[in-house]
Amino acid sequence: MVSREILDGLRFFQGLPAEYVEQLAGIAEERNVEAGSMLFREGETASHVHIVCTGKVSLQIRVPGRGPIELQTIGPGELLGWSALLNNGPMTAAARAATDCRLISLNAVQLLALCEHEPRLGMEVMRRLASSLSQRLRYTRLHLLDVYRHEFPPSAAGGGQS
Amino acid sequence: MTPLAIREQAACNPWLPTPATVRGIYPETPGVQTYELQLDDPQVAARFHFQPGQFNMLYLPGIGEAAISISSAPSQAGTLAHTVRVAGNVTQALSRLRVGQRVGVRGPYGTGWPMDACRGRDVVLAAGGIGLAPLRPVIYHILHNRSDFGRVILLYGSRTPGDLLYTNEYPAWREEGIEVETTVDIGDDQWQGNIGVVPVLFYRLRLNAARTTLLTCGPEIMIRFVIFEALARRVRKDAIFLSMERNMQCAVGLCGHCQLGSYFVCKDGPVFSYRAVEPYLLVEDL
Amino acid sequence: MNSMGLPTGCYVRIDKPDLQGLLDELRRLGYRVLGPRLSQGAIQLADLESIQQMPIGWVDEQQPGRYRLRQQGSNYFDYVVGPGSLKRFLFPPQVEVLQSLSLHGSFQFTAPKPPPQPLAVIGVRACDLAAVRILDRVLLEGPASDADYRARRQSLFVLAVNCARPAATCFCASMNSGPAVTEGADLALFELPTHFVLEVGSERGGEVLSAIKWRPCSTREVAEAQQVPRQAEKRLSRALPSRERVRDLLRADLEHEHYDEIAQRCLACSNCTMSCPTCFCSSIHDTSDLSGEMCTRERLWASCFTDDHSYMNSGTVRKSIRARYRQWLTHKLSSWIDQFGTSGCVGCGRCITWCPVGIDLTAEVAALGGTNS
Repeated sequence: MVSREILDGLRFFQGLPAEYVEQLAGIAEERNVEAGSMLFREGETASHVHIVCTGKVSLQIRVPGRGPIELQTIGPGELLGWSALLNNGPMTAAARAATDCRLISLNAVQLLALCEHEPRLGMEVMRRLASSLSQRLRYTRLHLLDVYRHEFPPSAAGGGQS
Repeated sequence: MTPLAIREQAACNPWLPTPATVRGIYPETPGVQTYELQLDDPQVAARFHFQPGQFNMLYLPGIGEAAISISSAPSQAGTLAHTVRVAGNVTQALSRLRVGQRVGVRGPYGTGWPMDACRGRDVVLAAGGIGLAPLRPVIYHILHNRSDFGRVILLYGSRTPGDLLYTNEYPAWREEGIEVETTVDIGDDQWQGNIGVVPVLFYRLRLNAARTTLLTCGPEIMIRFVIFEALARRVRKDAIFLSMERNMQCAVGLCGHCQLGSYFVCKDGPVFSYRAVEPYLLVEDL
Repeated sequence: MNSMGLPTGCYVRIDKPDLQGLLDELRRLGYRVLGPRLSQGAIQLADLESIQQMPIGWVDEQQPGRYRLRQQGSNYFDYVVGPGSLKRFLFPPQVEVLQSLSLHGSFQFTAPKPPPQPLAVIGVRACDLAAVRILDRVLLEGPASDADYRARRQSLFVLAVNCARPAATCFCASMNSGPAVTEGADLALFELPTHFVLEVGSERGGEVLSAIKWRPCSTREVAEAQQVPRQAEKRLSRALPSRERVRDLLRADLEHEHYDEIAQRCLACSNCTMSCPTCFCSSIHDTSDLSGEMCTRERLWASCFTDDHSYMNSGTVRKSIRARYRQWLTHKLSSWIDQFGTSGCVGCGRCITWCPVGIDLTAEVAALGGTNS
């Protein structure tokens, strides 16, 4: 249970009717996480959806022979662990707090139940989830484009790009 | 040739460079060095004034010219800094220069960043790669006149931590109240900072959109996504400025290469307001 | 002021052979005289010593992608424009713009001296004069001006000719650039069956003319002369819509699907840009002597149709022929107006005639949304 004021300050909850924010506040937990600790590991079953309030979380994937590779940093206002809401399957990446973090965590089972019970709220949640995923995808694509590639002479660039 | 004659000749002949001496060479990152140039003719040097964002054409006889942004403070007397990334023949040749050798300089050219339009406002500088070089004079201008500006935030990304420019200056900038957020595409064993693209840094900002001016420079695709984020946050189109790049040879609107629609990037730019170039950015291969 | 010179605006009549006297007077004054000559199957501007070297009795037939000459009658100026224009002489394909000398560890930079000999050109048409006025705006009236062009331009003497007939590819009237010569000529010539009428366009023209045998024109003779370009205008078979209309329609849709169709035909051969009297794109080429101590920079003609025209280290902006044709067309007819206040086109028709696949920009503009009457 967290106060409504905390959620009001987060972009994920902007524009939601007060009543819905209350309901979500009722199932939310505030968590303080120390730098270095794991929020979730690869292969674990996801139980919570997290929204970062402050701090940075590093998303990692363990590649056999290369160790854990950091892919992306997730920061304030961004979502983590949404697979909990979608299929309850195992996490495909690990999340490690890169700095001390404060998160708002929502238990997936409770959140889904709430969504079923209040379909309009459910739609709002899913819409925001889709928007967050869309943003994530947009910037993952931009990341993939390797936009500084042309700044490197052929001998220095990795991967044989000219 | 007397100074007056040189001036007259330059007015008549835009191809005439003025000689300058390399006074200092500072390695920045792999493939990137900063050259401090001093114009040899003291009268020409005394008359040389530039706006943040403007560029010079640096000339090596027999090899050619390269358009390089001036990356020092406009208020700095004596030398002009040029941060140069090795890319083609001319920049390769520049990278082999030694202190005491000469280059030809033509300039300053182009439009500068709108410092007046930033006064009294919060300023976000979003840069990628070598794109921080033409924004550094803006930072120096702000440092020199800090109270003229509100919040000042630098968002800067590069490919790897080793490619971040001017890292030794960040502490001084932070001390003067400039928020510096960096990010890289690929980390390394030591990197504890952000991994991801520059627009995400913008996404995370808490902003007063109505009070915010955005100045952005870097790969064109990065610029587009930064602007996308800024517009989503309701930053006004006329408060967004970007620096464009095109093939530049004459730098004075005569050779025709740098055209972007009706604009010559060399003289109508390289700094443009977003409103001015928005229709062109949306057309492929223009 | 030479009190011997004929006043500007007056009309005189000369016998056709006396044109030689004008040519001789120009040479006596130190001009290099150029005029139309038959060369390599086309009528081109070249050095002229005698009027007998001119293509007297020749007529051109021009169509999209086609240029033929045939003999008809005995007039001096019944053909219109060939592949070249004044651009070749005022804005040469290759010209030195800077010299650098390594000296005492530094460089000495000098601008090359302009060519010493002034040019006099006989046979310039109204469209080409309009093109020179357009180039003046581009190369002289911006924040920087082209010193070499200025020097050549200032000393230029023009004996213009009012066209008696158009080629099929001409559309000067719709571009307000002909067929009548209205300004910019030192002397303007009208060819009648038995004589030439010359209109004095400048003090210099009046002085040169006063050196040869001339008779004043009667009012009737002036009217007869002025009819010559008017008759030509009636026979024009192509046109572009108004300048503003073309600009607006091109601006409206930069992604028009018709550009894809053009791209199927265009070879990006750059004939159009080379023959166009207003295309001004240039590239800089650096050379040095063997020791590397004496270096020069040359300005060379460039074309937006080439691969490297929009090349940057981060890639080429206009990779496709579609993008390049669009750049050429929209610059010539639309962005040019924003940049310089005039259209870039004078309706000379060269790009139509000299395009190997016969792309006709009047037809392409029609297909892109404007229709010609």
